[in-house]
Amino acid sequence: MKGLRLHGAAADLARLDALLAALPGLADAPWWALDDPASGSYLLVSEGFSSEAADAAGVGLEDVDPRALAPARRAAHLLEALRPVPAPHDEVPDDALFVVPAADPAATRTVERLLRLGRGDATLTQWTGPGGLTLGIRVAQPPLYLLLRARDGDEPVRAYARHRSTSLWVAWSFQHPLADAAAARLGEAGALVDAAGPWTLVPARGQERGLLALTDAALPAPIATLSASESEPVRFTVALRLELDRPRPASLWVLRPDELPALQPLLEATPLEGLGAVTLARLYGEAGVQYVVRLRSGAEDEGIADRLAGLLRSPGYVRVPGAERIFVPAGQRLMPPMRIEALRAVLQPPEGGLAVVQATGDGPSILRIGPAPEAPLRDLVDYIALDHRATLDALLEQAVFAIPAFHLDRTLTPTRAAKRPPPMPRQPRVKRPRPVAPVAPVAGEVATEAEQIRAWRLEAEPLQTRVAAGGLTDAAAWQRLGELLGHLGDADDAGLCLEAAAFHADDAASARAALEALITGRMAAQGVAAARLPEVMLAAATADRPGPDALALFGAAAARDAADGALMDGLGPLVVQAFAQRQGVASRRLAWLALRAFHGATGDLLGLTRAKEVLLGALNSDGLREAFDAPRFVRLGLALGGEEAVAGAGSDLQRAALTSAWARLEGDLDDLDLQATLYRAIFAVGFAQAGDMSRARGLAHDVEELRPLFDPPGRALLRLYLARLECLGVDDPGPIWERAVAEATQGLSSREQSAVDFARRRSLWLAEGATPPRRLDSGVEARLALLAADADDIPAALRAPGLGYDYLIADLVEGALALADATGREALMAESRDAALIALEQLDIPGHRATVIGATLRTAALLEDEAAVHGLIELFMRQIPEMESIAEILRAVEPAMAALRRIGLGSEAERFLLALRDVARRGHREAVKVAVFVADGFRLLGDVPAAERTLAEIEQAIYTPGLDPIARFEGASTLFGTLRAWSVSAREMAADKALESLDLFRDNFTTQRYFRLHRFLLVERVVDALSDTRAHGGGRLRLWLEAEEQAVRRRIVADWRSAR
Amino acid sequence: MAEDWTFEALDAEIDDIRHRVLQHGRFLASYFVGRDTEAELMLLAAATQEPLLFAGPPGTAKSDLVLKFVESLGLGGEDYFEYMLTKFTEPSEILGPIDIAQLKDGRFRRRTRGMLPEAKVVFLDEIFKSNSAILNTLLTIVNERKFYQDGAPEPVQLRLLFAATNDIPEQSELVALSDRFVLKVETRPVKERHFEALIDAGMRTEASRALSQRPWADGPASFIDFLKLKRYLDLHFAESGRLGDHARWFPPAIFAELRRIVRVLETEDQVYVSDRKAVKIYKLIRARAFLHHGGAVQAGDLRVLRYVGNRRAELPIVEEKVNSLLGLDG
Ligand SMILES: Nc1ncnc2c1ncn2[C@@H]1O[C@H](COP(=O)(O)OP(=O)(O)O)[C@@H](O)[C@H]1O
Ligand SMILES: [Mg+2]
Repeated sequence: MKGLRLHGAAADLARLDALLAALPGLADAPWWALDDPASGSYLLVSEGFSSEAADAAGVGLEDVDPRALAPARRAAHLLEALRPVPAPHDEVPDDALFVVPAADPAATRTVERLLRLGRGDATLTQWTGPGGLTLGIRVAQPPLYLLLRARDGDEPVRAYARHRSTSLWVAWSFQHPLADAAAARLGEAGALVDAAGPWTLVPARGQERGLLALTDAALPAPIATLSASESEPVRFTVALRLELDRPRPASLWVLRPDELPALQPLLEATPLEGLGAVTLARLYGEAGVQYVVRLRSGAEDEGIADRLAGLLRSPGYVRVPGAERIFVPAGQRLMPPMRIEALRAVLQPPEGGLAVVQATGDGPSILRIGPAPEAPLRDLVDYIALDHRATLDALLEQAVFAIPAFHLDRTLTPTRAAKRPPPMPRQPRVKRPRPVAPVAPVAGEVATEAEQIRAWRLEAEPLQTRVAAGGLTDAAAWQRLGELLGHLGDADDAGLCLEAAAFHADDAASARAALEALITGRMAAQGVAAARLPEVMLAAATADRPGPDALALFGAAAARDAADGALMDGLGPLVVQAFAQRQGVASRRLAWLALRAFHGATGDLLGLTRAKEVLLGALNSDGLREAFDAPRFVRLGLALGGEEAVAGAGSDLQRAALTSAWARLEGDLDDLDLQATLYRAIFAVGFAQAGDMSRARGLAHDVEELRPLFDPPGRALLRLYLARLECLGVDDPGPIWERAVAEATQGLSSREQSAVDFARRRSLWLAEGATPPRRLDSGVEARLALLAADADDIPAALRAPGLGYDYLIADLVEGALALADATGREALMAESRDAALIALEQLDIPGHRATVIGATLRTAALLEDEAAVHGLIELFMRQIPEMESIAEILRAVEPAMAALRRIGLGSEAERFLLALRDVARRGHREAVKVAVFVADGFRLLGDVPAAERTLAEIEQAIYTPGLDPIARFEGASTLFGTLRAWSVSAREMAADKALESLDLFRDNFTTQRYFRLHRFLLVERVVDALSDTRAHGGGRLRLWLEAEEQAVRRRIVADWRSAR
Repeated sequence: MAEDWTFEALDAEIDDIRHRVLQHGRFLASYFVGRDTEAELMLLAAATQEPLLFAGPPGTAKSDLVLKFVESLGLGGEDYFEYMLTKFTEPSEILGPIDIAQLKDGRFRRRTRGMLPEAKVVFLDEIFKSNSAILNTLLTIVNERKFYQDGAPEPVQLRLLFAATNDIPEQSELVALSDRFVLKVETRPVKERHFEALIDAGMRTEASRALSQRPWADGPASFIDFLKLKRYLDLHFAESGRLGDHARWFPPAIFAELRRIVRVLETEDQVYVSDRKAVKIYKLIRARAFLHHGGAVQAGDLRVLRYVGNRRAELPIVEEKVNSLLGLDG
């Protein structure tokens, strides 16, 4: 006989392919599989095999001696003959089936374990076959424990995982090598595939029943399986046990007569109203007279419960939640959780009476208490005060009070808060276009006004493109563009361009011309007549907080007047105040223009030096600012980028992208599923962020409707997402959010609460308030405040930080260097940098060393000290292998990278990125995170091909099956965090891929009994990236600002040098 | 006291020792309300000389547990060193002052009398308030049972280390120290549930202390009993180690259960269990089994797993989780 040897490896499939290509009939022929335990491989044999056939296929067949091998297993076709291979990770499947013989005690045990783990949502099917009655217990996202137990344990329970949404179930932690094909072949039938290969065919759709509906409780009873018959479903009897629970205040005590006097102190010391809440009843039973002390429901929390527990020296009994008349010892609970009816059935509280489960030395016992007249303790007080124990006892013996049966405290159905449509987001203030300034037509050449405008536009466009490239220092170009924009009516942008023209001008005359045009334009735009200019300047100079327009005009006019030696008396100090002492709302270029002119005119070199430091310090701390330093056409143009600029409005594109993402997801959703509802809520927030309020409201409405259907943790999360929606348009969302959190988490059990917290800590939108923000140590904060007041002390403070912990020192260095940078004083910055290196010596912990090196690197970069930068990068790279967490590396690298770019040391930045890329390739769990950082770094450096290559590698890694689930989620989530700054089309493509692969995102957390955490968190991240309007194009704008900053910085330093 | 008893010598009395030690746990617990678990863990920590961390709010008897335990063993004076750390605590405060006379001769030595290096039982209150200098010293002491005198390592007398904290910080430098405490137990206030009993116990303690009486001194077991137990366990582990300890002392079903529970804690609750910690946990379970049944591990011994949580918020969760998983087999 000839056989094909397979090893459960990828190469097998190639050989099978070749074989089937040569002998297509074989796929459907019967096969035999023979195990060769000695080698771990197995042999496949088919009647169609012959040496010639093998030769034809080019696949080596070998001679098989069936006697040397395990007995052959016959398979109906090739797919059935193949043996599953171990999966790379133990993943918790979406759907698992535990299969167990119904008559085996393991069946009941499995059911019991499921119930104890809170998984009453499991469903049951039963099959008959040669082995008798078999049960299939189906659990979505089953507890890992049960899977491990079925695989490794000694019970006849087998666990199967469903392949995708097919009816192929493969032994858990194995994969069928051709699962898709095998599933397709099954058609309507279902199959269970064992690890060793054999298939068991089962009907695809049996009758499934809920587990809880099939379970009865017994107490105390040995585990027993009730009789089963074909027609009657198997039922289980599960032994209830008392188990420790979190303490809740008790509301019932059972006392012997001799214990009764212990109540006396209570009677003596409690106000009458308090006693009204306590009742007493006297009962006869086998054990003689007993007293039952009860606390009116609702009174448990008033401290009386604790007091009673203390006095009676007994923790007492608590009501089983949901069951008014069943009590268990305080601090304990009945496990597994059962339906209340099942509990009632077994405990049988008498009509109008109670059942109390007591813990005794030999297990639980049940005390049934018939309806008994109860007396409020209050009624006894007068007598008690007179006499003592005997009296009390006697009184109680006699007392028979007619008291209505137990006071049932019906919980009111909570009135739903009137639904209120989420508030409209605040519309961004749209500036009405200013009327086009009237211009004198250029003689002859241009006939109509419209043609004139088109001509200006045509001329302006290439100039705008040059500006948008960043770092333009050509004063003439700026000047012309300013004039053109002025003609076109865009006074703000025209002003910024003319400021740049004056700033970069090479000679006094052209600077003068630029200023003149600037002032004229501003005056026209603000409607200021020439005669009123001095008055307007004075008003701006002395205003408490001059607005941007007023300040812009004041600065320009002051610059011109100072250069002319005609600055109004007394205005000089106000110029310094407006542009140096306060970092106001003027552009940095204008600030320098004004200060340079003023100090230059007075020949005040010291003042000029001070001005230079102030401006450089401001640049060091904040750089150029989007709102004041970038013309609007740059902001819009860069934000929209290529195709989006053509389409006209980025947010339309975003809405379209969101709509199509939602359409893709919605198709597969089950309406009443929590997961689907979470996606709805997330998209509602997304649409609102992108400005599509009507869609947002529609989805939010659905969510509100569905919310009551889910478990408390699901309800809480939905409530929180809806609250995010409410917060969107609000100035101070803090209180709304806090209230929502309090409401959403109210009444959750500790386990539910921890599930919700677990999710919130990992969520982007819900995390607020779940993780405390990182706060500086108060000691460090105090020192930094001192250093901010007197920056000269910074080097000394860094040389001897005198702090105990490494992290404190690192925080101090980081903060102090930022303060030094903000002074703009190069000598001080250099000295502080050197001092920081001394502080570095005191640190042992790599992560904190990285922080300090990163901060020092930033300062060195701002000083444009290439040698120092180079050295620090070397030092940092030497540190990398020791670092425990990549997050630490990234946190430290980020500021340094930004500084390198701003200062134009792109090649150093690139070297850095390459070193990091090596880290990413080390195959660390957080490797994907680093790779995302690297991709973004390349993009920021303008190396788009390298960025895209890295991105492709990342997606490849994220969507490869078999990746560790946490690494997959974290990688994807970092990816989308970064992508928010990329073009809409890049985001859309990535979103498509992610949503398509949503099934790949799994997790093994305990929270899976409530929700699939990684999936909805991924959807949240995708939606956030798609709908983000803040970072919209922000990355490209940041690059522009950085390039521009370099030009501004260089010019300021050059001006200052030449003044010396 | 040379702790070099032979296996044979110990074998004869080990059962008596075990019983005394178990009795000692009940004896100690009787002076507290609702501290049975803590008392049992203290026994286990003492029998294995593993450090034990109490995490809980102030006033939950953390200090008192250690003090009464020490006194009940007949220890006191220089055998016991207790200190409350702050971030300003200087190494001299726990290791001893620099010896000035020797410093003049250029030798940097500390005078350790009555300080941590000479104590057999140490209690560090607010342990995570310590600063980097103390931290490094402590790590060396806990790991290697050594500290440095004039640049040369010298052994410390430390046998039992107890520590208390309200919070377990997650700063990376402190994590290293926190990791050394394989067992961390949360001391919860009992006032709510056992008010009267608590008051009574508290009053008894106060009164006794005021009158300089210590009824808890002189418990059933002595410090030597614990040392012998430790020695015996070491010898016993060494002996079975060659054969593969678990094959002999850990029934396969229970061993599988141990593995499963650790796996579930790691994956479902992200409780980090390092390789070192896994071995320590194994050892502690074995020790508990020996103490309680004198032999093979039983399912109940896996209860030690309740206390393997790392982070503060994790402790109650792990405790509950292990409880429910262990309950699965009835
Ligand atoms: N569970 C308890 N049982 C008995 N006494 C207790 C208990 N909890 C606290 N006490 C008493 O309260 C006082 C304060 O305890 P202490 O050990 O100083 O607390 P901690 O060190 O945790 O701050 C002690 O007298 C202690 O005996
Ligand atoms: Mg204390």
